[in-house]
Amino acid sequence: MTQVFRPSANGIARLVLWSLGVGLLVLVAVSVIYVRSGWATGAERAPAQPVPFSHAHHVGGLGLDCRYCHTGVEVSASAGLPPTETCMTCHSQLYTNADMLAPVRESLATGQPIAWVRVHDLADFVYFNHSIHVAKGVACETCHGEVDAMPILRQEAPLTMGWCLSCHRDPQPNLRPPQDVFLMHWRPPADLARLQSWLMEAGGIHPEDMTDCYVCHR
Amino acid sequence: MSATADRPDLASLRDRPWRSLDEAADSPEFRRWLDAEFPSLADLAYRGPDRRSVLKLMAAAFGLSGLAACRPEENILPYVVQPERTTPGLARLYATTLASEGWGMGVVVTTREGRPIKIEGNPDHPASRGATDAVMQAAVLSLYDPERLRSPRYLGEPAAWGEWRGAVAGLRDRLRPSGGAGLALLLEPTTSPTLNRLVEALRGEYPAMRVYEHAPLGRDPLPEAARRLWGRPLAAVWRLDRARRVLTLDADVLAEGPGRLAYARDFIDGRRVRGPEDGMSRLWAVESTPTITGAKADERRAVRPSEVLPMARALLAAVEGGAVPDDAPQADWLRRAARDLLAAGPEALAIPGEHQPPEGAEAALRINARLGSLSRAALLIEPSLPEPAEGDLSALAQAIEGGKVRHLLSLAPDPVGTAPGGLDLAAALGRLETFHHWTLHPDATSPFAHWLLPAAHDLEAWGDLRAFDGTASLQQPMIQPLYEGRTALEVLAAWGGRYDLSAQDILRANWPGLDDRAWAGVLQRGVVEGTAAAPVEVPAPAPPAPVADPESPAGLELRLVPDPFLRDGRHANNAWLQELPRPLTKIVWGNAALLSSRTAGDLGLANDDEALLRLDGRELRTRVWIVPGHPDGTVTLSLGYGQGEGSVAGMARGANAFALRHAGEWFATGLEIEPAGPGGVPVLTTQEHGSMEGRDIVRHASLKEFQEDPTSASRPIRPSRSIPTGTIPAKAGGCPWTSPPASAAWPASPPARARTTSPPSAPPKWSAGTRCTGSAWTATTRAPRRRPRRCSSPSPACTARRPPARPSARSTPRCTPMTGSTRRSTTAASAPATARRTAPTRCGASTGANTPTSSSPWTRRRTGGTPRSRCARAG
Repeated sequence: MTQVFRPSANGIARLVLWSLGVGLLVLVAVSVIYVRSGWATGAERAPAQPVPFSHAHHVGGLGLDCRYCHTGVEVSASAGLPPTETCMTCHSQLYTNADMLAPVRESLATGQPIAWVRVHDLADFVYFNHSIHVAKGVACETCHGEVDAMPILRQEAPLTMGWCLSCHRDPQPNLRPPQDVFLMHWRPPADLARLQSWLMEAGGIHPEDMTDCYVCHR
Repeated sequence: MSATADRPDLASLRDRPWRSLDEAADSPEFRRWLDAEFPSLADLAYRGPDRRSVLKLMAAAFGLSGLAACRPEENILPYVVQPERTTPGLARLYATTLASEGWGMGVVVTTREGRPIKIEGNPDHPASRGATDAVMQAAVLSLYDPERLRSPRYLGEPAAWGEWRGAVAGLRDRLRPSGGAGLALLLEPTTSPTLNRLVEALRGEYPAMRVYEHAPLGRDPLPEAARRLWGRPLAAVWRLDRARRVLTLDADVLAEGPGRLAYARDFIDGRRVRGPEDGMSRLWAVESTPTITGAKADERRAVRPSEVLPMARALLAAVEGGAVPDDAPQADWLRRAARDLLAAGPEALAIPGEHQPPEGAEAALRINARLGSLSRAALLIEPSLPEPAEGDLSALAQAIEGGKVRHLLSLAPDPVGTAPGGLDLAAALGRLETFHHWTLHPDATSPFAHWLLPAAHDLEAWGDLRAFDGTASLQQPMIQPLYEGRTALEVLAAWGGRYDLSAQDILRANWPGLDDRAWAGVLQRGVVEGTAAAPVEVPAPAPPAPVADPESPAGLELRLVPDPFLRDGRHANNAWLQELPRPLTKIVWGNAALLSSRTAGDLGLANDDEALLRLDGRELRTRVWIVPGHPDGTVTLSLGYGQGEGSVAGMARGANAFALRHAGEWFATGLEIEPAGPGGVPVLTTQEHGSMEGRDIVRHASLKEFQEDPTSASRPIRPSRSIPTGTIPAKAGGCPWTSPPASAAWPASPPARARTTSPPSAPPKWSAGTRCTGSAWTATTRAPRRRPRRCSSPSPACTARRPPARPSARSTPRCTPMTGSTRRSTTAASAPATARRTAPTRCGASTGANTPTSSSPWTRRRTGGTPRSRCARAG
């Protein structure tokens, strides 16, 4: 009776066993890396918008304040997007025939809002509030990055729960005086550490209960 | 459950609270039911996992985890033209008024991005005092009901308001020469000064027009009683805060009527005991059906509805110095009550029932006059409701039959659905030449209407209403009409030839005394100052002519009550109100004939049985429910079920009690009940949910006991009930539980819930000595209610100082940002220590916020179509 397996089958079996083990490790490694990468978190994502609005031009070039458009950021949970009217304060005079602004003109004419694509998309069960962060001295720049250098808005931070918690556990290094939160490229003063510890105290920031579930999940 | 068959010793039950007869009897069957709280889920929850289900779950988990990576692209839709002073994400509060059967109840409505989302009471409104009831809370759901009438309909086909105006104009031309002969209005009695003035104006234009009224829930008999006594109608305001002794004669004063919220507040303020030095008022209640008021009473007697009037007269005799006749019902009780009332003198109060005939109210007014409380605890005022009109529904039906009415405009709620069973209104309506019906929902009347006109919801409408004490308040819209609803004011104005007037114009024209500034102030505050009716001084009434009490009728009596939440059925399509357990019975999604345990036993009826009710040849099939404390020989049935149209109303199981009514009566004798076998669908009740199971969650003691030992309420006490042992019985076809739920792992779980698998004889796991964390005690102190902060003047913008608050603290400054910017916040830069709160703003009127081109921010509209302005048009 002949043998079912040839001698070379030994090698193949070994190879299969090894590659199974290695493959499993690779799979685990890939999954672990993937969920932290921008592919999964959306960091560095810059979706196309109906109007290619450039923060680089409006903020970096013209020097508009954040609050010119995002009017609710100091009082409301959502920073707010400008109504079409706000765009038209300037663009009724400037670039009145530019093709790229056609959707804005159309919106004003028809009354249909511009459907911007959400860049910073938190999970629906997270109740993020802009006003409290701004009031306590967390700058726009800290989470949104250098928007004055973004021709198309990009998601800067991963916006994962781990990222949120890293700051909620230790907010002090991310604080600056509240009057400076809307500045880009802020230059910290020399006594930054002392200032930040004063901000923690004056702002009544208590990291010990900032990681309670209900703070973000209600 | 049939544990009610072994009747518990009721006397022994007075010492401890219980929620149902089954619980009181504590039968083994009830205990089993209780322990298996979700019997239908028991199989699912406690069956051990098998290989197949584990694999299924794993596969599902794996497949769904892949979905987590899929993020649909979300859009943000900002306004096109953002209404002034609107900040997306910030709530704004407006004062307005909701109608409660024609009476005003002041509310403060929270709106977000122009959508009303929450209703609370208006502390400045006398009928609300910051409180709401369930119907008011649920108004916000009715507003968004997708089954509301969406456009005018002519002969069932969608039509435009313009076509309707054309039709009305043509009719006006035809009717004017004859002074409106053949024209009739059907109204629900309302306190709205503007609406009543429009009706008067219409009468002036059409002298031959007839006005009928349809009040399915009746009118208070007290004005009629006052007319008999003093020659003019007067309404009463009960000052429960001034009364130390209150006696109600079938009056559910705490839960019914336009003053219920204020009365409940006053009543409980007079009974709040903080320390041994505090006293309590005493409430004597006579009632013919179990009510909230009876449940709160210190002394309660349940009698048949026909016995209330003889009791009132006997009490009057006793108060006037005579004696309570021995043949009066509850004579001994009445003697004690009379002594108690007389001892309190002007601080005693007798309140007549709103469902009793005027004679009852007359007796109560005489008692109050005799006690001297008429100018103190019982104030008489000019009535806010207009005089009753030409007649009711039956008069209208007769007039139609007689050819005197050929054109009808109905502003009343569902006349066909709420017509008494003895009246064939549908046949009469079919004879009309033109029938215009104004309604929020398509209802039973709709098929008969030539023109069906969609009503604006209270939250979409301009209007005015008076509260129980005469205070007028304004309605302002929180949102533009979602559908094409119009207010009754606009419909009436169009009949008067003013097709161009908006409800706001009509309203302002009726309040000429309010200039722009005062108008804004009234809108912000919610009430028109100084409109409360002044008390009227009346002379002592002439002594009553002796009347012979009618022979107390034998036989079963029927007692009709409005459903506490659906009322006459107008809220039947509101799922919140269907789902809300009714007081005392805890019945949901339906009604049942309520009767006492003894009467049920006599009739051979048990819970959930079907029964055929027969009264004067009218028949109704309904289910039966036994209620402890129900008077014997009486059957209570609530109105409001069985006639509602709509998908939610259709899910409820109930009998239409209007079918048993002859006219507008609330009780009748000669009821016959015929058992019709076990019912198909059981009565749904939440009565036994959340049983206390021997824990003293609620403790009670008499005032004397409390004064002797004020700490008794706050002492922890071990549960009084013994701990159940034994296994949970197997469900038919299922497996007995083989492993205990991990109750032992939760030390805080109520010990009585500890299920063990040990044999019945074995000692339970939980034994004396175990610390019982489940036993709660009543909180004896309560933080004082904080009134929301509000700016007193409409300008400048509210700069209410906010306390340096932690994120969890709430402060709600309410202001009128009439001028200045909406940036009410103090500057962030200068106050790092001040936490920025998302403070809702209460606003007077958002002037010029009508931006029909703006669409909603943040959410994409699901319904498509043209964008609609979402901002509260108010200016």
